[in-house]
Amino acid sequence: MNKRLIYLTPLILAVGLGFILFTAIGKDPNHLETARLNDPVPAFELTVLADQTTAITHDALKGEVRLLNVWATWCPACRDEHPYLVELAESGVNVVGLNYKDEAKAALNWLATLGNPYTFNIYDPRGSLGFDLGVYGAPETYIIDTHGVVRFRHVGVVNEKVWIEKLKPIYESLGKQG
Amino acid sequence: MIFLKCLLSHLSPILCVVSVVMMSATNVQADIDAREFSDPQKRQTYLDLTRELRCPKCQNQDIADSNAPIAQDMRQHVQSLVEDGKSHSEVVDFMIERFGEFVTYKPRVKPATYLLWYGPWVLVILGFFIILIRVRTTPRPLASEDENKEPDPQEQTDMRKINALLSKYETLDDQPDPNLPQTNKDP
Repeated sequence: MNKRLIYLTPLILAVGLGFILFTAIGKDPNHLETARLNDPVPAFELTVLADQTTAITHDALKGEVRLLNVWATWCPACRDEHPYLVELAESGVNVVGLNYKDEAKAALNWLATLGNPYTFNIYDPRGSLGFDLGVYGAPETYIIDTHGVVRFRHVGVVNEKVWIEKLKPIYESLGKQG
Repeated sequence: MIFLKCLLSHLSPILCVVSVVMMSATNVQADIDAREFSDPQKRQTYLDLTRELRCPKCQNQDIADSNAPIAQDMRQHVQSLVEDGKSHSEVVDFMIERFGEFVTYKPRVKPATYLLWYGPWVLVILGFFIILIRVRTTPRPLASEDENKEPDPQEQTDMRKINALLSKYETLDDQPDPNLPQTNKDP
């Protein structure tokens, strides 16, 4: 009996390993953990995109549940998701922007021609807030709760599917908590 | 552009080609590493860190190897942190705080990574003990080296039988097998 168990060990190990590998199939290897999850948005002192003499700090992200959308005019995928963001804003979703490593003139021009879904935009030309948040490309969209804490991050384009399946449930449950 | 301007000037076209090629070559060098450090030790820390930190955008490259914008930013931060006198592990912690554990090729030792760091050693020690136990418990092979020992009577009868059988087959081999086809030895 004991000996049989010893001979079975490799089989058990192989099946175990096979199971572990099988569960990993179809997982996106590009998906990274969000280091800032459940942490407050890092402290920052920047200006508003529309007026670079008006200062804005992390306190501006408190008080309401918001989507924080990281975007730039050099980012084709941002143009791709822009109409849907406009649609979301029109339906009452609170979207704010983080204009990331961009030029103010080009960014303002973009908003004037494509529509402005953002309640306000943080202007981060050097990408310093982006870096502290762990942004490694655009677009990225964060859900920030009323205490200014990061509750979710989505890397990539926001479309109807992403909104309904990922963002909306969290956004609405945070809204109910008040 | 430079090339066209060069052609418009009074230099010979060949000289233009050569100089433009040389200029672009120095540009490439500058992109990879043109950083200055206040002391060589800091430079070494910077080089070690950029090889240990992983680019989040291009996942199988370290930040020294990648030219993704985020890798450039990270190199910039590593340099300024090192120049500010931050230690190797402080810089790694700074990056992990922003980009997660993923960002280092050398995971930190903590409960979640104990298996990774100590698992192999546990397996080696376990294997050593299994071998030790097996060697101790399995009976030693027959002590045939002991030549002064009285031969076992059972063994002697066995040997006689074996020899008898062997000699029988040896004599058989000398005679041609009647079942086999005859070969003509003479041409």
